[in-house]
Amino acid sequence: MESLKDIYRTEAYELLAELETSLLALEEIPGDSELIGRVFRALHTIKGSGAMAGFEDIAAFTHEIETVFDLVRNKELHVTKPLIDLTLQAEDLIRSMLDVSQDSSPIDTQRVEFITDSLKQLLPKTNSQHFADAAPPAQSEDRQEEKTLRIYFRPNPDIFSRGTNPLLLLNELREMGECSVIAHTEPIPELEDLEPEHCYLSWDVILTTEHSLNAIKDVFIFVEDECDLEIKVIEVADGEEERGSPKRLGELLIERGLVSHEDLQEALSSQRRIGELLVERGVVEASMVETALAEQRHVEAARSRQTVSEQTSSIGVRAEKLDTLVNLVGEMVTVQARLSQVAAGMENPELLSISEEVERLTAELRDNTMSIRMLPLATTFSKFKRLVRDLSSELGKEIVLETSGGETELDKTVIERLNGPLVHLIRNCIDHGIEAPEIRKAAGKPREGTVRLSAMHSGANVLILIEDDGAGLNTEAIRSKAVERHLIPAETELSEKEIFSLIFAPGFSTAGKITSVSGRGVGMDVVKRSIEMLRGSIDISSRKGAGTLITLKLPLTLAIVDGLLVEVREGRYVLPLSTVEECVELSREDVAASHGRHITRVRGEIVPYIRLRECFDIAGTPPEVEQIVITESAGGKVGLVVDRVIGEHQTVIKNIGRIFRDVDELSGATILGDGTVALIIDVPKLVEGVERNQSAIQ
Amino acid sequence: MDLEVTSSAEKTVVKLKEIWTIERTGELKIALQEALRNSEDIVIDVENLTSTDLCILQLFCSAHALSVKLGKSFALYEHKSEPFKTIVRDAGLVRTIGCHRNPNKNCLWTGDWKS
Amino acid sequence: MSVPSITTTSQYLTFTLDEEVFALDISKVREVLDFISVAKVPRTPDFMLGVINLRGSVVPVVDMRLKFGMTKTEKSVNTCIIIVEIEIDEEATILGALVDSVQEVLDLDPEQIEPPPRIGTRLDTRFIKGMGKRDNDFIIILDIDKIFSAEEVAAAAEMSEASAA
Repeated sequence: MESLKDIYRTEAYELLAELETSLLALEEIPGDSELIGRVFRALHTIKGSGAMAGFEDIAAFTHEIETVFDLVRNKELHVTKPLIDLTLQAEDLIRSMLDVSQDSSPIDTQRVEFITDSLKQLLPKTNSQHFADAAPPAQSEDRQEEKTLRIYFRPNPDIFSRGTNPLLLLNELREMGECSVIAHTEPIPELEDLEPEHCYLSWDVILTTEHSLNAIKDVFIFVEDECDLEIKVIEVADGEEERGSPKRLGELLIERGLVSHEDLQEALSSQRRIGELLVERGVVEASMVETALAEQRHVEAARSRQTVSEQTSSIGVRAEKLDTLVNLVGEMVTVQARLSQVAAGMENPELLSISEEVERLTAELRDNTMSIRMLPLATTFSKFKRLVRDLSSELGKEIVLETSGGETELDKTVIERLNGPLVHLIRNCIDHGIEAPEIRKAAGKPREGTVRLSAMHSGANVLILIEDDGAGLNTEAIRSKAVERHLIPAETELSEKEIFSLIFAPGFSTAGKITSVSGRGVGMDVVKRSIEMLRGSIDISSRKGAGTLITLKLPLTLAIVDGLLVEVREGRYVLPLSTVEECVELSREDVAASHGRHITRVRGEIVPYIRLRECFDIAGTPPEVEQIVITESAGGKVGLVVDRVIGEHQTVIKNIGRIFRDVDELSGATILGDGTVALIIDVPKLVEGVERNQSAIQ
Repeated sequence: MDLEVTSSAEKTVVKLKEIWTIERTGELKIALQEALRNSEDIVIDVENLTSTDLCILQLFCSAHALSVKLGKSFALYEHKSEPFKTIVRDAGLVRTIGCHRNPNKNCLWTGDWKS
Repeated sequence: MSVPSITTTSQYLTFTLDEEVFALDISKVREVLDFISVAKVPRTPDFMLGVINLRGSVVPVVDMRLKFGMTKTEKSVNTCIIIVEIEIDEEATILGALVDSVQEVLDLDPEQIEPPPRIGTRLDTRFIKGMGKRDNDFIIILDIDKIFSAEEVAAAAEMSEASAA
């Protein structure tokens, strides 16, 4: 027993040292989540092993601090200097508790109580229940609802010679919240008349704070008799009608009696920036305008914080209205394309320049309209925090979810349809990816696993990465399972990438046992299919022992598709570029050489092909040389034979209506520049349908 | 020396180093008055100033006002001086709009005071 | 059993298919277009001629002659597409009907309309709303909603399945 305590003691001293370094670094960079994580982990381990080694008192005390840092970690509490101070004190106390237990003299319970109580005071009101059994939250009255104050502070001229530095007071205010300080320099006399040791400056301070008025007044307690001090509360929500925008600068200046209505009207009529104008005319001092501007900023910020729960949407628009708008814009794009075509043929420079202008405007209009449907991913990401926490505790794993790029925007529909696949992928990370804490520790990794969810733009696409630092994919296990399931013949040689792609095969699951988390029969094939339905793609890479990275590539919007325009007889079809690999020629000789089988060779690789002409029952004779568009989808590489490849084409997707809803091979239609309609082919479904029919025939 | 004055009829550069606070405002006032009398263009180099206070800043402001009145140029050269930038920010002197007293609207405290 | 829906004077658009005169309730008609190029949608029954671009919307077009078991429409200068607004499963749908020619807009009083005959027409009587009398001719008034009812569309879909197999 003695030896266990000794081991713990050694470990705890090390952890305390690490805690201290992290705390000090954190003081420099208060928002650093990695540092916060380190502090938390150190505390967590001190607590956990402390309880095991029989240091109940240390465990109990550390638990209180850990709770506070859990809030910090979840961004519910900010890192402040008092918090760092207290935690450093706590660190010293834990150290002394370790020392004390060595010579078994009593623990300083008073200090323990003092620190726990002080920590409680740092907590936001709603969280004080974490310490339900402790003393009533008497001290919390200092923290109130956030408000914005205007503090006017004019020290007496002799304040400098009394040895008081107003800067210290200003800095003290800065620590109490969001603070803007504006010095009034106008009373400073000309050089000749300047008394070098007099204080001519006065200040307006706009402060948005949760502290009480008394707490603010306390800042000035030592200079009470040496200054003029006025503190006023600025109304943030000035009645309903004004909630939209903060008071205008002019109003603010009039309200404060700095400017008359006439001055303002005159300034307004000249169409320039009001503040500049009024100052230039000598109507108002620059610092006054500066104060009013600061006030405006604070009110605006306070309001935007108030509405933060309402998220990003400010006007609710019915989805149909948006759809109509998108349709109209689509029409506009089409008409504009025709206009450009006609204008180009007319050789009328005037018409050409108008047409170019229309083209520019249309492109802008299109981008703007599409952006209306865009929503940030942040809300989706934040939902996963809870998922990760719940699942990891259910499975006895220690996992943190880190997210980044939540501001990346995607089409609303894409976001909605992405939820399911993302849940599945994250569950996979937690269940199969991240190892149990003991296994991780044995492998020399931190006990706590990390799942990283990030989003970023990449051209016309958004990339979503799901990364874990878990065990990685086991290529051998995947391979043998695939052989077992007759997905591949036993002797096939496969590259690593090919093996990884096997997990997307229907009916494949590598989980050794079925858990409540995954293995419910929904496999990666479904995930892949859902992503492809969104015209996206999924890619997987992994290193054994180091983790797995899944990359989802999604189009920015579903309303526009980048496609390859092809032709069979008079019919025009669009193949989404996301599925197209390359185009090759197919001559009569090639057809003859393959003895009637629908296969071709692309750089040595055998690729089956489908004749669109046959598939769609199109009459007529194909041209001498046809084109094969090689596509890649769930079913692997498949070529589509067409008469002619016209080129790349960005198109607005149109619904072809319910009458054709059973024509699976089409995902929509689009209108070309000449006004005719081209059909958009759903390549995976087309391939699937052909395969189904062939197997039915066989 | 913590005060270096390089002067010509066109330009005076007043170079302040190390610590300049309330005790020496009188001394600096005289130096600035002299500079404003002798030159058209006055530059206060505070790059190597390590510590200063509000008294000194008031003095600069006042000297600048005088320079405007005399139609002369008066500029601060702070460049990388972190302590100076910090005190200007802390004192709330940073401006987006210059004084109306100045026809060109230029002001000592407009511009970028971020670190 | 009579024709309860026809009680007041209504206007009808008349058109011909294989020299026979048909009529549509004008309230169903949105506009009449000259023939324009139609993109065939694969794996649909033959009477589904394809889709056209109607000012930016993609609208399906039905060859009415094929739909009614006549021979395929031969395009002529008179060939028209009547754009109708119909309801399928209580959902408004825009559809084009390819006809040989469009004739006129006709006023018919309820007493000029007789219930559909049981036999003696080339058409399924379910699709007929009534028989309008003009001078000595009979005009077949079509029930356009029924022609493109859910079952009919479903039947079309089944056909496309069959042709795919």
